[in-house]
Amino acid sequence: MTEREIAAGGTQAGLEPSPAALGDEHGKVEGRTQREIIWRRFKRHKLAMVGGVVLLLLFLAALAAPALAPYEYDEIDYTAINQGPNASHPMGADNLGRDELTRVLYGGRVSLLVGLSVGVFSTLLGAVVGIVAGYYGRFVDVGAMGFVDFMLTLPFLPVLLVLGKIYQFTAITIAAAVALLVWMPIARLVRGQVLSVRNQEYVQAAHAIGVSGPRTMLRHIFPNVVGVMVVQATLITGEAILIESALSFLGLGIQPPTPSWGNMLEDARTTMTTQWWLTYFPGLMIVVTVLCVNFLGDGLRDALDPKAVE
Amino acid sequence: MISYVIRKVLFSLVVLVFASIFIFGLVSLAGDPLVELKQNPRIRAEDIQRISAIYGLDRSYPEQYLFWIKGVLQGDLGTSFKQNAPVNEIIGQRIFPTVLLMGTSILITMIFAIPFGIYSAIRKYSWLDNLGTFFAFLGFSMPIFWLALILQLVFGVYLTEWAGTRVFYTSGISDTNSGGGLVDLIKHLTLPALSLAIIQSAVYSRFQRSAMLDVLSSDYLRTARAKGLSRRTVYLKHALRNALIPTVTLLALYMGTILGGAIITETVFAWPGLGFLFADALFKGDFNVARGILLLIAVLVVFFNLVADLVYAFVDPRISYD
Repeated sequence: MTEREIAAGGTQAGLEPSPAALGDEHGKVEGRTQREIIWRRFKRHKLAMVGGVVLLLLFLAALAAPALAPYEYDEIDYTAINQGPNASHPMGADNLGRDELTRVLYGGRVSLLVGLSVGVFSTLLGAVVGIVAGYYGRFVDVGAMGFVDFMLTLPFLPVLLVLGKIYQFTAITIAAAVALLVWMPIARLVRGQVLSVRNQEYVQAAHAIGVSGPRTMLRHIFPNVVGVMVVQATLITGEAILIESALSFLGLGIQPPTPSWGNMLEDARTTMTTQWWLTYFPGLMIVVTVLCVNFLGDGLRDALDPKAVE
Repeated sequence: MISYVIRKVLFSLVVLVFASIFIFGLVSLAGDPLVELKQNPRIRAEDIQRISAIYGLDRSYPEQYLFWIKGVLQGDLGTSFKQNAPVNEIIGQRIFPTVLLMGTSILITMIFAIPFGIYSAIRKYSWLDNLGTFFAFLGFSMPIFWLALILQLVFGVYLTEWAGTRVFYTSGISDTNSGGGLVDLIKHLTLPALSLAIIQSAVYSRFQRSAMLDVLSSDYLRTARAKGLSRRTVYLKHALRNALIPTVTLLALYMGTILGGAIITETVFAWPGLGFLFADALFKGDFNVARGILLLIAVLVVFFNLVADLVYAFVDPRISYD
């Protein structure tokens, strides 16, 4: 399987530690815990800090949407139809007179819910498969990796569209479907990590004193792959937000009147040339959110990567 | 070596068998292709039964699958449920537009992303490299359909108003009024190809950069420098060749993703290719067409994976065959 690892090794494109993260301070020999070291490295990545703070604000805004939003998301106001941004509708109103800001806030709930759920579930699934395959090896490994290879041949966007045609997607079911289609690269990555620690002395020592297989995996191997998992979970969160928006944009994701940034953009297409605000704001929200997620992921990678220079 | 090749080929075939079962089953669940006929009160029950029998829809799913796969193995993807035409013919007409769009976008990507990635690696952390990093992050974070909408607005609407004449079209592949020709094609092709190329460039320029960085830090490159070769020779002759291999592989392995991405771009620009056809067939319940396209993508993906594996095994002596 080495050929794939060579190919996969380079896919961490452009995500080497930034110069700020590499700038080490010589001469200090105070004792620091692992956690302090990681936090110090993370803090140096300014964009990741900014990304994290903006994401937190977006998350809080989405949680508090019912309290924050000036209107109801499906509140139709005939006097406000197609109004541009103004004092009572800061982001304008759509072709039914619904407040765009309100709908953007509610749309954020869908995006963040889907993104985070996919991030967590696909990473856990990938990690379980990767750890089990890497630890047990032999036919378990061959079978699991064969299944991973099979899943990777399925073009996930078309498959998701068919699934969207079969079921009326809700935020939770989209998250489940996406998670089941994107966990494979994580499984491969985690398996690789497991293979590199499996034969080290401390694992063999645990084995020798009679620690059971599952316990070895949980206590001695799992901590080694947590870093990789956190970084991957973050990056997949961003990807999942993009996938959900695309599905909803194509009309097979979140169904109106529930607003999602994707289906709002689909609605906006017909009046795109005149009502520019309906195209700009939901799209900008997607870009800002995913950009922050990716900055955060980059910072985490720098902070958690054991190979990073300290 | 030979046993390695045989094993890879056999595995690919097994994957294709499972993929075909998965595709057939999944699409079968997407709905009843005759639903419109059944809802029409003017069509008699016995006519519906007759039509069901013609398409084999009255049989069980396993029987339907065997019927379908038998045709597929003989190069026949079946008959469209909606157009009364062979699926082969319907799909066949759409292959050229997709190949044209994909080919153009990949060409633009390669022309831009490879030199830029190499420059970024050689001049690591220069202002141009940092700018590239920023735009790559932006590209990773932008939904392609939104980029397409913005390009439509800027180059399709604002530019047309400003110039007083239509420079780029935002839908279709040709315009009946202009009488066709190469110029007309370019006016239609530019915006969809650019949308795809911008997003792909974000991925490939960064990938090329990290591949080049890997090579630049290798021992044989230091040796080449140490024996007195000029920077130019080292970069262009020794480093570049090795740094291109991962990029070309990535391109092959991501063919499926690229084709999946075509669905969105082709739909936004009403580009008459396979992606647009797939979305359309799915909405209309033309399931044999949808199955055919999915199977075509799966075959291409498996094929390119196999080629990448085998080529790697031949060119890279470090790979073990067991």
